[in-house]
Amino acid sequence: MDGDLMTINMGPNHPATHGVLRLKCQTDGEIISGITPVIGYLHRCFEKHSENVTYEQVIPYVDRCDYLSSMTMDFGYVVAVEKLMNIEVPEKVEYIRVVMAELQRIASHLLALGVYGMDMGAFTPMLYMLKERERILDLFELTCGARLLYNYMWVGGLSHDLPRGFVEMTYQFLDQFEPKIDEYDNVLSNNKIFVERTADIGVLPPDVAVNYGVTGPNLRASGVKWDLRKNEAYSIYDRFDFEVPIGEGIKGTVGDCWDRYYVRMIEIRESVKIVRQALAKMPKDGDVHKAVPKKIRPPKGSIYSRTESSRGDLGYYIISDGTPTPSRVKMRSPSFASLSAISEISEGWMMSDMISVLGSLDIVLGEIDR
Amino acid sequence: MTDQEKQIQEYVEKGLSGDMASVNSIEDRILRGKVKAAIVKAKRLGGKKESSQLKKTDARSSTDDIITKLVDEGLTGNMENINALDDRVLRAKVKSALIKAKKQTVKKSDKTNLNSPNLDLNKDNPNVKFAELIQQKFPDAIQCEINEEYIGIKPDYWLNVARWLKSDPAASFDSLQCVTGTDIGESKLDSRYNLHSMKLGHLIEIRIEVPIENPKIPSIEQIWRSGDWFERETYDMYGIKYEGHRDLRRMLLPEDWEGYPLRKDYQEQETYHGIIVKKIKEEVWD
Amino acid sequence: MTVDWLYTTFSQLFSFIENTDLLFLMSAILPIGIIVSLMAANAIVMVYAEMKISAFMQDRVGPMGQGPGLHAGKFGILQPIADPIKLLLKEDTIPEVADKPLFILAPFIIFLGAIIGFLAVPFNENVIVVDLNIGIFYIMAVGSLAVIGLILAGWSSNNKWSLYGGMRSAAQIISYEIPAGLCVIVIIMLAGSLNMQDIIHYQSGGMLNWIIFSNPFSFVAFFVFFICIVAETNRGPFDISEAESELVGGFHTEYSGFRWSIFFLSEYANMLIVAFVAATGFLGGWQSPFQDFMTGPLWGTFWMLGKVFSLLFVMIWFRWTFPRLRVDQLMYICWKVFIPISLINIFGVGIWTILIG
Repeated sequence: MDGDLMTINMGPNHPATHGVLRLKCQTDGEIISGITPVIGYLHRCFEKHSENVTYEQVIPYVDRCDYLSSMTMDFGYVVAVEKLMNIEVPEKVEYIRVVMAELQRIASHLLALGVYGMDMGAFTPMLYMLKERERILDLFELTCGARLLYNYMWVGGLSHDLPRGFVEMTYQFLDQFEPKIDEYDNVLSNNKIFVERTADIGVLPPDVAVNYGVTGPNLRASGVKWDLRKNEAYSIYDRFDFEVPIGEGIKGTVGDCWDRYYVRMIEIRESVKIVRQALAKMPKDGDVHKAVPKKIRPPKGSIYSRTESSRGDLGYYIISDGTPTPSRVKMRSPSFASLSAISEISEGWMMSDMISVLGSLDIVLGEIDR
Repeated sequence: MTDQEKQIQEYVEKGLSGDMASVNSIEDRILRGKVKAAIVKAKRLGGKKESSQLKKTDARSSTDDIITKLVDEGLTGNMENINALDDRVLRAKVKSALIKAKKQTVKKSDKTNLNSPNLDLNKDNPNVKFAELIQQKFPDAIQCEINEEYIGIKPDYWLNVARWLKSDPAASFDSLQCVTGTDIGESKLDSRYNLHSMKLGHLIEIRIEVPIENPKIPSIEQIWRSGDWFERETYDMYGIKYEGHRDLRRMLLPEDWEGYPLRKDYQEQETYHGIIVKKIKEEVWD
Repeated sequence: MTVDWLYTTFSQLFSFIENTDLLFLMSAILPIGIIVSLMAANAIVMVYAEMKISAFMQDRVGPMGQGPGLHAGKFGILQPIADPIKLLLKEDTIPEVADKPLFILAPFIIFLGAIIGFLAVPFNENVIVVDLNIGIFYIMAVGSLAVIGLILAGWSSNNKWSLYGGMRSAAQIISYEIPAGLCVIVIIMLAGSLNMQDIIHYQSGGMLNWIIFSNPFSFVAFFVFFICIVAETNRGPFDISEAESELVGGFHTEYSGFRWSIFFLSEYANMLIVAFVAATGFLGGWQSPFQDFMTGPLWGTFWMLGKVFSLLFVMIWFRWTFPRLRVDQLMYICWKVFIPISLINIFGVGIWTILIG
């Protein structure tokens, strides 16, 4: 039977698009034969804003780009500005930053995995994971008063020192959290239906992934061992002992949706390891404001600095003209590159598989549209 | 003009002259609605014309004159007249204009610095290493002095250089990390590419300079697929036309947006789909 | 308590009414009124049960309230009352491009399919509205009426997502009718009757006489049947026609307020009917599991509802545990797994009855 293709608009309002994304799908019945992503619904031109505010005022904007992983977004930005200014940050600040970034990574991955389960129709695992995420957000709230958009990391320091009892509470959290990961494996990762829905679906071969600039867990799931925390250790990541998990195709092919899901699961375990080590080694004393410059006025020049956010290589291209306001701030957002690969890997699959692929890429539209 | 439009115009004129009764007595509901909408529009536009616009042009021209005069004085070092200004807003404006003017002069001198030959180069720096390799391979391709920060390449050579950078085993830049557009002033746009090799682990930066009137750079979208969206974004924000890009549309902004927002001389459009774009008040902090 | 019994009772009670048509109408309307209120009550109970059960499965508390105030009552028992009120007060929107007559008609067809199924459901020894001699066949037949409603809803909404939902559910329900029907044949073969009460009487004498335990093949047939009826009611993990994360809301995307609540009501009513059929066909209906212990009409109702709600609990449990299947996987399971198993079951039951008895 020969017929025309039906164009169907998925989004901007759709439960599975994780924000306001529009996918123009050419469908042949249930089969997708073409996808054109249309983005920009959340565009605020944060880069233009940045040209009119001072360096420290950019941080809240950066927070709001990837609102699910604000700490790592801050981290990337302050690292870039510090490199530009050649600021030496106190030990304690570095440790606190790593603890925060890794807790944030756990929180972000938990949300990603939970919501992915929900995309597949499994509602319960999401609530299990959100419950643990809440505890992390409580820790953040204790530290800086905010639960989502922290503005916690400052150039050269932090907004607050750790509150009393934070270390003990974090240990407590980690102790009760670690067994839960096995629970997630039982309820979702090894669920037969879930495996059927995700294994062998939307395979992203390593060369295609690199070519599209896909980074982070998505790239690692394709079998490329690339993690900036290891390969280009910024801050103090070279002092910790952790593994970089890669997709092994346990349930299907290397680089399928299940691998992308499971790499995140293992990364949570690795992040727990890092947090434990950082808490153990963290110096007790020290002023977190010691290295905060009175005036942030980087010398003329430009820098491209990358860090590993929860979603991949987060790059900042900052051009300074010697004034207190940046001349240009460009964010290379990992989700942007990940999303660009979607038409490559989900064409020819069914509607439901496309949802599966989209969910496994774990995009945040705030960061794509900026 | 159709009959209906003529009718609407008649009624609008009546309405504007104060005769709303005749407008309200129109029996066709659609027509009545259109007429009323047109009246509202006309009033809004007309009101502006009468009140603000005329006055403002007067006031503006005079303050503008003062500012330019004072800025000229300030550049030569005479700050007394500026500090003696009574109007705080005006004073702040003058000061900010002065800073801007100074910035531009600073930029000019900075440029000359960069172009001066730098002799103590680190040979291990990938930017230096690959600039030299490119120079051997494509003698005319390098646009600037070899330095540690970046490699400047002429737009005409870019496609060939890019192909070579990806395929050559010593380079093998398999990943295009980022494309950054920027407005470097002096009516020039820059397109900056951060290339990375997953295999060999080195990172270089390529800069391509184009004039703002005719910004054309060959597209590398088919060499690195990630360039597809990055180039579209840069086109969207800076209007750099990537020649050979198969799908060069606006990325983040709507198709019918006017102008390129990240250029320094960007003026936002007056109206968008009939909606008047609000001007943001320029506030200057003292 | 059949319609006939009602009719004779009424004619004795109201002997002053000479119009027999009126008497008949009265005796027909009364059970329908009871059934409609039963459906509403069932929906209320099920909504509350679903909210609370899912909450406990998900480490939540579900609807809560600290007293008989306006806020959901103690333990949130007023929540299922508040929900229908909210739904009834909502604006009833019909999309401009929708096919209005069909759009309005669709929920009622589904509702009709649910309501007339109850006519042949036995609640205990005596209470059955119409004791049809083809009862089980009748229920299976009218149960399929819902498909028409779903397709109509999907089509008339003039929304591509709804269309997807309608088409998916049509394919799904029609496919799963087949293995479900084949499993019913197992019951009929053993009981030798299509009459619901006869099937229950066949299983009298304790748990071991139930059809589910009568031979290994019928044991398998029960599970196949149960999975099929879950699929037929469009419940998770087979809710591909609604598939919130894929099709927004599937066939009921465009429905709101009261019309939407009718879909909701029918879903729960359909669940109830199929649970009744499963309880009747395999679990001995209103029979006590302990031979002559705790028997009688009231106990019969207790056993029947107990079995039905246990099955419903399992359905809820399914929904909140499993991810959703994909369309082709759903069809695969139906055509390549369940239908062959059901056919083998029929064959096996036949051989078993001849050889072992």
